[in-house]
Amino acid sequence: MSKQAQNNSASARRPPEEDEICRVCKSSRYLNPNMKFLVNPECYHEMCESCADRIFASGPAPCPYAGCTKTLRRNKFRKQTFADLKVEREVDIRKRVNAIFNKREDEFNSLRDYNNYLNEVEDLTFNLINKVDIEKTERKLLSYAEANRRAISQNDVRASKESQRLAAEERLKKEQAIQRREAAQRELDEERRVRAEGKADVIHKLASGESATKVAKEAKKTVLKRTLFKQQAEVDKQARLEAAAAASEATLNGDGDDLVFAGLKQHVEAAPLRPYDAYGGLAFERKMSNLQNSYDDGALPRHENLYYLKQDPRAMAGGYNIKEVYSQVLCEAFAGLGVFLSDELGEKAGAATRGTGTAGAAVAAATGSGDVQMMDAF
Amino acid sequence: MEDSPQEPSTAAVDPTIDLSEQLNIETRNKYVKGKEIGSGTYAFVYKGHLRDEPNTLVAIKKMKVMENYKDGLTMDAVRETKYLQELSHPNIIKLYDVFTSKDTNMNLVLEFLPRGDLEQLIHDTGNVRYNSADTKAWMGMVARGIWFCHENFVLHRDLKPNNLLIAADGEVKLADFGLARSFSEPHLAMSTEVITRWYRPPELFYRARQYSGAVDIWSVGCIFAELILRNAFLPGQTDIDQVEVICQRIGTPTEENWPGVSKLASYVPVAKDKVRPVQPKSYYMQLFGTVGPFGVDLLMSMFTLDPRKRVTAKGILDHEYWAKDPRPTDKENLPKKGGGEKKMGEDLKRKGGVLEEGKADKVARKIDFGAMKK
Ligand SMILES: Nc1ncnc2c1ncn2[C@@H]1O[C@H](COP(=O)(O)OP(=O)(O)O)[C@@H](O)[C@H]1O
Ligand SMILES: [Zn+2]
Ligand SMILES: [Zn+2]
Repeated sequence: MSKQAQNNSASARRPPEEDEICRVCKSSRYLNPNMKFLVNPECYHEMCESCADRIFASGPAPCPYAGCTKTLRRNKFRKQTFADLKVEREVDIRKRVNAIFNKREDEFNSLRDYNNYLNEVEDLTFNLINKVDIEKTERKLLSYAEANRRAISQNDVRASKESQRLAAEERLKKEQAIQRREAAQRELDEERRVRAEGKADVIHKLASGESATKVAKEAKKTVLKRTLFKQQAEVDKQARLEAAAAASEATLNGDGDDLVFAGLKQHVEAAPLRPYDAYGGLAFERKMSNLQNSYDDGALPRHENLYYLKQDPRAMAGGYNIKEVYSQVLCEAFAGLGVFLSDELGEKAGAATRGTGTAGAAVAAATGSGDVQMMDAF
Repeated sequence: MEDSPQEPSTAAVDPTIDLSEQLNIETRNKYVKGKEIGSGTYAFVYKGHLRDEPNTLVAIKKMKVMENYKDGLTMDAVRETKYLQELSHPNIIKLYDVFTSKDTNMNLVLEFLPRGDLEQLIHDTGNVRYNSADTKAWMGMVARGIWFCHENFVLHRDLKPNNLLIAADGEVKLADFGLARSFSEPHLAMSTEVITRWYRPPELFYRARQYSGAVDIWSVGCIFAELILRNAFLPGQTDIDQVEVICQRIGTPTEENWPGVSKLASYVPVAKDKVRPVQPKSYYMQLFGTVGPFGVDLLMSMFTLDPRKRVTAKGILDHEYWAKDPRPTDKENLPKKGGGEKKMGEDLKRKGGVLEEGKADKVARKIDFGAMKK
């Protein structure tokens, strides 16, 4: 499409330099930063709010645009929604047509019938938008509206009931979100109260009190190791680099008779599709082979004793998992013993271990698992 | 001129403010806050970028201060901060920084995720089409995210499609850790009023005060089902109705399929003749067959009534489903949401109003002839 044509089709939009000037009174937004532009759906000629107020203060009056013959009323002026006035107009027309032709799919015998109806409606809309057979089309529209008044208003009521229901559901959702938040807060308060009453928690007791030695011994025996495999992408890249290096070496070592051109793009065989890795290249293996099903924590008072908890069907039926608690205890005990997983795994992997904090997160974002491509947003 | 000039960071340290406030100011000054991009019940969200690197976009979530809930809300942000900073994974939203603004509002600086959320994709049936390979890809990302949480002893407790945000590169990320907590210590009762109703598992309706990661897995099952149906699978109207819906569509919890369930605080015994059997695989195949028999097996294992027998996050990732055909879509090729108002305007501009383009074009816009072939 030529530049000329493009300009024509966008003629309804103001050129940017005029964007800030009212074409009626010539005042500019530069001098009056609060200036608002309004349009009237009769003709979509744009003017500033004070012009609209001034010209139409004492009732309907002709549009001030030269050559425009429409009579406008102040109460029909509104802010435009779309930057392109052509689009604004089309959306208005579609709204008007849809308010009249508001039949639903379920009112038709078949999808084909419904589509035929939509087709018919779209023809009318098209004519109105493009000012084709305007009078005939308007007549059709009005006579249909007249003949179907009851059905139209029934569907209208139905639609507004639906939207009311949606709004009510939305409100309810909000209320429930607040309730959940409050419940979480109560949970925390309760937790604080229990702690304040001196029922210190098992994890800390195990990790700091006399049982800590037990846990530590256990921990040493246990093969407790988190293995973090490198990102597949890294591996991939390395493999490709090596392949490329090997390829170029081969060229250099070739027989003297062969022509060798410099600067040719290296042809790298597309790597075969790797099988999908559900872990996304990260695998955490916590080998708990030696993890017992139960530890002797008999030194603890009854209410904290996992042994008793395990006998309590109410606790267990909720899905509470004692093994998870042991696992957490051992893991935290390990951290307490100064076995920092990040040391084991190298710095990069450190970001994936526990407790690296915000700085860790930021580093992880910077060094990147390749998923931080915020630059190409939008 | 609302963007005040950068406060001096190193040269002149104001002796009247303490170190932590100094740090706070430095953090705040690292970012430039842009226009508002959304607001939820608890926060306003703004687009922003690093002052020194305008190309590095962030989302700044400013927690609302509401008088009556002041404490609770601060807590909310604290929870979110506490867990998010411990979790660094491609499928979990990243928390870069935290600072307070002048009005003491808490601000979280988060990874910018501009492509909306899964709920928008699921329910925009008019504009967004996706297939079982796309569903598998999204589920894989969700499963990795929740696996990493559980592996680090964190329960999310509010998984649902609109808390799964989508990054520019198509990666799905778990967001909104406002209800998260670490796995409980054994003697502490946990709140059962968590997780949005449609995604909440039966043990919470029965008020089990000790529970596990299995609660999140139920939510993941609901998300899986919703991705396939493009409608909520278990949409209860009230809490009581929700239990009824679960009984109907999954099966009635009984001592046989869930030993100990009758001991839970709010369990209501069901008369023998009212017990609905656990739905068989054929039922799931009918509703969810598009993801194939292995997908259906996985889905069923997420909907196991007894939380102790429900599949774990690791179990999900180890499932055969992932290796079967179709291969999950690469994240770059996943469907994107429709562009909203702006997109609609552009669409109309492109197609509408220009007579020369002919009638066929305008009709095709409204009617999907593809749908007629069915
Ligand atoms: N990290 C983010 N990146 C981009 N947009 C976001 C981000 N977080 C939230 N938003 C936007 O801000 C809106 C409000 O977010 P939030 O306060 O979490 O709302 P909700 O109460 O709906 O969960 C969301 O609907 C979304 O459009
Ligand atoms: Zn004017
Ligand atoms: Zn006019």
